[in-house]
Amino acid sequence: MKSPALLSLALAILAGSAQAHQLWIERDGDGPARVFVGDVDGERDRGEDVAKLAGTTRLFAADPAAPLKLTAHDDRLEAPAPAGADLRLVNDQVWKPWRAKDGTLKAAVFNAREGRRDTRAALDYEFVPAAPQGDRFTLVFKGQPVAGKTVTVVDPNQWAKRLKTDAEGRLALPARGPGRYVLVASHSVKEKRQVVGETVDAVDYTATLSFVVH
Amino acid sequence: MAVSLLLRAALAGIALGTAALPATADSLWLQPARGGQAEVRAGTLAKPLAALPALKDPKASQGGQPVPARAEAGRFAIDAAADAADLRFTAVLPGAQGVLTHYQARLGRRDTAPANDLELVPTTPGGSTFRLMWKGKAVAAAQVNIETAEGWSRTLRPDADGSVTLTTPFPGLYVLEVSARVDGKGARFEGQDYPDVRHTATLSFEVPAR
Repeated sequence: MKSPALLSLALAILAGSAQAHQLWIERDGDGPARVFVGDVDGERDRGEDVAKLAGTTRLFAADPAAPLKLTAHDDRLEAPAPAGADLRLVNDQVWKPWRAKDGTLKAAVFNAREGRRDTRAALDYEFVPAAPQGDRFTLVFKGQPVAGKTVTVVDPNQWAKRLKTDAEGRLALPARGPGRYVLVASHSVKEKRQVVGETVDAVDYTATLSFVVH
Repeated sequence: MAVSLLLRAALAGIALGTAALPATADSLWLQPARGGQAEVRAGTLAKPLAALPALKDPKASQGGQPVPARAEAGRFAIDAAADAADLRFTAVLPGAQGVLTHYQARLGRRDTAPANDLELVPTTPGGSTFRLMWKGKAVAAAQVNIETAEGWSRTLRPDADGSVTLTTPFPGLYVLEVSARVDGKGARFEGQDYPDVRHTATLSFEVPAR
């Protein structure tokens, strides 16, 4: 981001803060799963920020008990993945649990999914298609639809739009042509959860769903 | 202004504006209004403010000539034909916590020469490649935020030459926004010292429906 050419000027261009972080999976056809971290519509993390997640990211196809082996690359984690399967991942150790201003101990849980074949939820927080390969989704948290939640849709050209789920937790994908779409939603819940040996009082969940429209 | 640059990978009017400085408008832009005239709005395109912040020194111009700007509820009405030539509007917001913001808005992308201190300027009349100019000199726009009337938004990063190029897949209004901070000793405005001086430039234009 630093531009040496600017150093003699009396003007600093203000860039946006990287407040939100997401994990999401990209896949072309039956190729390897590529896991990215950063902002879906902005900067992606690289190097050590990515590599350190290889050991804590649980990526799986049909069986959550059979995680796929991830290899760190500069801008992504990568794993060969079975053909024709939706992929999911969980990571609750991207950040260490932290104390919020009100004293509660918090953790962040990242849930990501690639593919829209499966009409059941397997993650805590997940976008579930109403029909295989469909354009209508229900945002589900632990089996319950999440109504009135803001969802960011990032289209294949990196244009983003905020939508809200309806009273039944549903939303329809805006048609923006072929390419990869990513849906993002967050959800903060007061609940006890064990994270790396600590019991936290509240959890910030982030769900992403990515898929390619042909 | 013999000062050094302080590049900050933080904030923007927007992030800080909502969190720490509730009185600061996120953005301020010009747009076509009813009857072929123009108006100034503030906030975000998706959610314009119902009341403008307490702006000082409002000035509107078209082709270098001043045009009247009337303060009304939630807007400035500009008495000029929006499509006759590019319009410009500037105003100052003495904000809380020592922040002085110079708003500089432009409607239309015909002029290839800047008039405002900080301005996004098309490289060709009507074109979609823009350079950021600061007091007549090109500077790299680290980040340009774009909002559209269709509700789609994105951020653009500059190419190697410092320019940004945009595609316009949606019909209707586009607002491009850049924020910058002048590093140095601050400024004095109406008898008060402001250690933090910012410039926010917007360029807006309409894309006809195909």
